[in-house]
Amino acid sequence: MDPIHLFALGRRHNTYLAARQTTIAGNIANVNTPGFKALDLEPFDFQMEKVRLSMSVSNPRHMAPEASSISQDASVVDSATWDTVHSGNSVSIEKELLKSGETKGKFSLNTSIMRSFHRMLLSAAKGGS
Amino acid sequence: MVDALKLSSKIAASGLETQSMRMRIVSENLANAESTGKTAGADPYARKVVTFEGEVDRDTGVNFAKIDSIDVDQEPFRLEHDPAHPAADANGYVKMPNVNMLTEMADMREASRSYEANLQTIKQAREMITMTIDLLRSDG
Repeated sequence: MDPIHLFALGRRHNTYLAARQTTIAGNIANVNTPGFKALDLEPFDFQMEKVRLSMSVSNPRHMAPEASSISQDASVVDSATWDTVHSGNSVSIEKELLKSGETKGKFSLNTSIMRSFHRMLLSAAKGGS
Repeated sequence: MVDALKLSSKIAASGLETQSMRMRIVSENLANAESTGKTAGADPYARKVVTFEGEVDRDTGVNFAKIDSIDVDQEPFRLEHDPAHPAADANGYVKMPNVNMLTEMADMREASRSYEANLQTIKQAREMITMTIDLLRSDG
C-alpha cells in the first residue's frame, strides 16, 4: 500500500498558514508605523512547483548534481498594496483582515480533512462497528 | 522555535499596547485643551504627538510595533484677548494650547480602529490554535 502523504502535506500547509498569519499580524500591528511596507509570504503553490526530480550520477563522467538547491522556506515578499499613505506606510487594514480570514478558512479546511482521514484510519483499525 | 500562532498573538499584543498608548495621549491632549499658564506670558500646555516605529525581533525576524517617542507639537500657540486672565501678557493676550479638537477626534477614531484590527488578529490566532487542539478530541 502506498504511504499516505496527506498528513505530512496537511501539516506543512498548516505550518505555512500559521507563518502567514504571523506576517499578517505584523502588518496590522504596524498599521501606523511610518515607512512600513506591508509584507506577505509567497503562495504555497510556489513551493510545490519548486520541487523537481533530482538528477543522479549514473556514469563517472557525469557532473555531480548540486546538493538540493530547493529552499524549504517560503520567503517573505513585499505585498501588493491597495494604498500607500503619505508617511510611506502601505498597510491596508481591510486587505489584511481579508487575508487573515482567508488564512483561517484554509486552516479550518486542512484540520477538517485531517480529522476526517484520521477517523477513517481509526475505523479501519477498529474494523468498523 | 516559537509557535507561529502564539507569535502572531504577541505581535498583535504589541499593536494593542501602542494603540492604547496613543489613546492615552489623545485623552491627555483633550483634557488639557484649555490649560493655560499661571504667570503672565507663560506657555500653556503643548500638544503631544506619538510617533511609531517597527522593531524587528532578532530571534524570529518579525516586526513588533513600538512607540518611538512622544514629542511636543511645534505648532504656535493660539492667542486670545483676555486682559483679566492671570496669564495675560502686557498687551492682554493669553496663550492657549495648540490642541485642535477635530484632529484629536480623528486620531482617536484611527486608534480605536487599529486597536480593533489587532484584537481581531488575536481572536483569529486563538481560533486557529483551538482548531488544531480539537484534532485530539475523539468525538468528531
